[in-house]
Amino acid sequence: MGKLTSVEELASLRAKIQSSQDSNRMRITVCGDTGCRANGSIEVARELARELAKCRPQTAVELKISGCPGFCQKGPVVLVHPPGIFYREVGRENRRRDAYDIIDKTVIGGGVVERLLYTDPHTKKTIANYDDVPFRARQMRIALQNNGRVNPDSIEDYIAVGGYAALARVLTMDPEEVIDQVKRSGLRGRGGAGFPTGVKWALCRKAEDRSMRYVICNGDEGDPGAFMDRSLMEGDPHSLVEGLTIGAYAIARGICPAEGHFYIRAEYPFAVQTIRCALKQAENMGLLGDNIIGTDFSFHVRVKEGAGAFVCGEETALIASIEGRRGMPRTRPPFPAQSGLWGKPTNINNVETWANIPRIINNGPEWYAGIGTEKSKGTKVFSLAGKVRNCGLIEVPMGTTLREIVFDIGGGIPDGKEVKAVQTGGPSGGCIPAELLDLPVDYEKLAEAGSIMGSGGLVVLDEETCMVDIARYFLEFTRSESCGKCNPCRLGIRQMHRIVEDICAGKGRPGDIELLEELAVAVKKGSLCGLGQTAPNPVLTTIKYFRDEYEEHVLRRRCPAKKCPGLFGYEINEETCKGCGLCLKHCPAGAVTGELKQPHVIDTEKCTGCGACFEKCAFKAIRKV
Amino acid sequence: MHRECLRQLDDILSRHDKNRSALIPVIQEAQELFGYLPREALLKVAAHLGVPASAVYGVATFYAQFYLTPRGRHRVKVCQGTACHVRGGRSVLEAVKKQLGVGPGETTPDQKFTLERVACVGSCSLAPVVLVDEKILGGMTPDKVSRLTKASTVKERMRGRAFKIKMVFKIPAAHTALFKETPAHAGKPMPQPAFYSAIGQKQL
Repeated sequence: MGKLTSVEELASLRAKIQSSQDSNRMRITVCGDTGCRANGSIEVARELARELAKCRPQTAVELKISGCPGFCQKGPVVLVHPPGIFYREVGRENRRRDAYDIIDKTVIGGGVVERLLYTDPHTKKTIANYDDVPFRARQMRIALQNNGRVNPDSIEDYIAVGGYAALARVLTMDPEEVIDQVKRSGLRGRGGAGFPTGVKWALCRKAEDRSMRYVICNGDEGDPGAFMDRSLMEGDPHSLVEGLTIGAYAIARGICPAEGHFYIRAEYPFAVQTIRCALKQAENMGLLGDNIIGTDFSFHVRVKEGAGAFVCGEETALIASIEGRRGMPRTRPPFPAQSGLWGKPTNINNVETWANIPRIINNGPEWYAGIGTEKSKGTKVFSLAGKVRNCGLIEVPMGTTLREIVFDIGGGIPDGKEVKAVQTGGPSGGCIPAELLDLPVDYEKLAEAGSIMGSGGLVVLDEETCMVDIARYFLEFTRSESCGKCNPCRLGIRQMHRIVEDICAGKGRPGDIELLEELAVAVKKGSLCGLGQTAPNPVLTTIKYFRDEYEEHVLRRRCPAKKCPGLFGYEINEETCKGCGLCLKHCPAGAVTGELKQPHVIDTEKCTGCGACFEKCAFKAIRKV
Repeated sequence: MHRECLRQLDDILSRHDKNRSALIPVIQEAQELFGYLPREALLKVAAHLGVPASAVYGVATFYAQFYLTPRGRHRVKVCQGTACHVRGGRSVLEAVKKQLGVGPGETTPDQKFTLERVACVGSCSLAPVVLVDEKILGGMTPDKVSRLTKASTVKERMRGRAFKIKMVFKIPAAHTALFKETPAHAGKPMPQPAFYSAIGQKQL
């Protein structure tokens, strides 16, 4: 296919693709995202293809591998459209049998495979349609709308669902009008800080230097516990390419040439591959590169791979990294909008922000502004993980409460445990306690609670999680990721980590908690970039909401969650102990005594609390006390 | 081998612009070629790009991806992200450490495995996660770790070759990838089933 030279050609191509895709024809989509792939979804797809090929009488069925529909916990996920049947955990036990049944019962028979359906844990009823599954039903998918619908490696698929229509429309608009629409939509940066996107664009457009503009898609998703950017890049790359091109048009059109960059994290090799492939396809179709869709607007995009540094998610550090230097942030101003990459005005937005742009142009800014809360518009994608039944990628309108997210969508906590806190915003965020679960999630409300929106990692913590240990974990992370430029960050976090480590080891001293608070303020005030300014947040919020837990560690040398080794003991339940002798054999301290076939006893004096007996016991007779 | 690699480094250098922005992509490719970043390679890159050797060293030591010492043939990455942490990632790391006998960042004496701890690989729903080369193994426990690596070494001794065997131990299907020489889909676009075009376009 040659390059598209006019909007009409794009429209007729879309009509052509759509007419070739009979909407009544059955479509089987297999999730090809990292999570499902690790569970063997590609093999499931092969097996389905094999079974389809054997079908007699022959049936017209389309089989494709798509991006993430979201329900990663239940992968591999297979969807059959119409009517939208949701099969979970396909092929985990027997790939061939599952594939055979799906083809036999659903494709040929028109029924469902009961055993592969999702079962509601509360009502114990099976649910056939994906839209009725509570996990899906309570979501509102805008940024993720194409994830799980289109084949990420096919530009035709994307065009068929209305892709590049927003770009075609923008190319006829005045750039100022495009910026105005983004402003009116109320979209704010989804990378964490929440700066209004339209304002950012306008600043960059107005910059004095009129020789070059750079637009960058920040795909350096470093927050542990966040994976929405990866899923978007792997599942719907063309939306990002389209969004980035629209941004470049709005910022540079009529002023100077523009160049784009995708900065993608080194840990996401597959996202790099998908984006590269999408860029090439768009270029071949004339939707990117020189003279886009026959206009005189040209825009080229390059892919830059990160090299493994969390701090490169910060704008100025990211720019330094693209320039081939150590990824260390610099002072602002000048802001990147005035002087960024190679000293030229630069606009950087997060992956999710770019994904929202085509939707806003297509549906109008008022539609977008009608969703969400007063100051936070639209939806937010969260990666729900941790101690929750339904892990996965979710998208909800701003203002949805944490309770709805954790219980209605997440399905609550497994194993009958209680929720203790929700960690948002990764190492820059904080822990929100269970009492505040009715907090509506938006930028302001989370900040009031001492946390931040961040890029959208949402890790649920249950009663077995020690909050001091969580603080220690994040400090360990920020300590090793601090670039070392500012002393308060480099040394302050190190000292804080040392204190918290001591507390976890039972070596805390009275006054440690106050010292931590004092250090936290110093690190916050004395650091240049977001990493240092927010690194103390996990400590401050855990002290604020779980001070008693810290005190328990320091004053009584006890870990209430029974997590910190040495701060709790083990005990053998006489009734369930069978006297097998396994714990006795594995105890390195010789603290277990007892006769064979008689209940054993742990000598608390000798016990070092290593937990070897606890792990080895086959009868769950050993409990933590 | 080393000399041959240095020759190939010339090809890499000729493919990139001769300025500082090419530094990171060049040493990324160089590392792929050598397996790590030997001193001669860094000096050569510095001279070619006209960047001080100290600056090249500065970049190579700043980013976690770069190694200045040789690495093992297989990289075992244990994820220490938040979701993995709360689901017991720490004990998995301890178990892997014990199994391989080396700490994070170190390589086994037989040059077979390098152990790395990574912050988050973005597969939180499978936590705790271990990566062997590019293949993700989800839902790990200390027990599974010991079984997996034990199985691979036993079989290796028998066949004299690593990772080219079928599994004999009863382990979940997702984990069998550990025994393959190369990860199935590393670096390739998402594979469509071979039958895809036939099914998608031709009316069966």
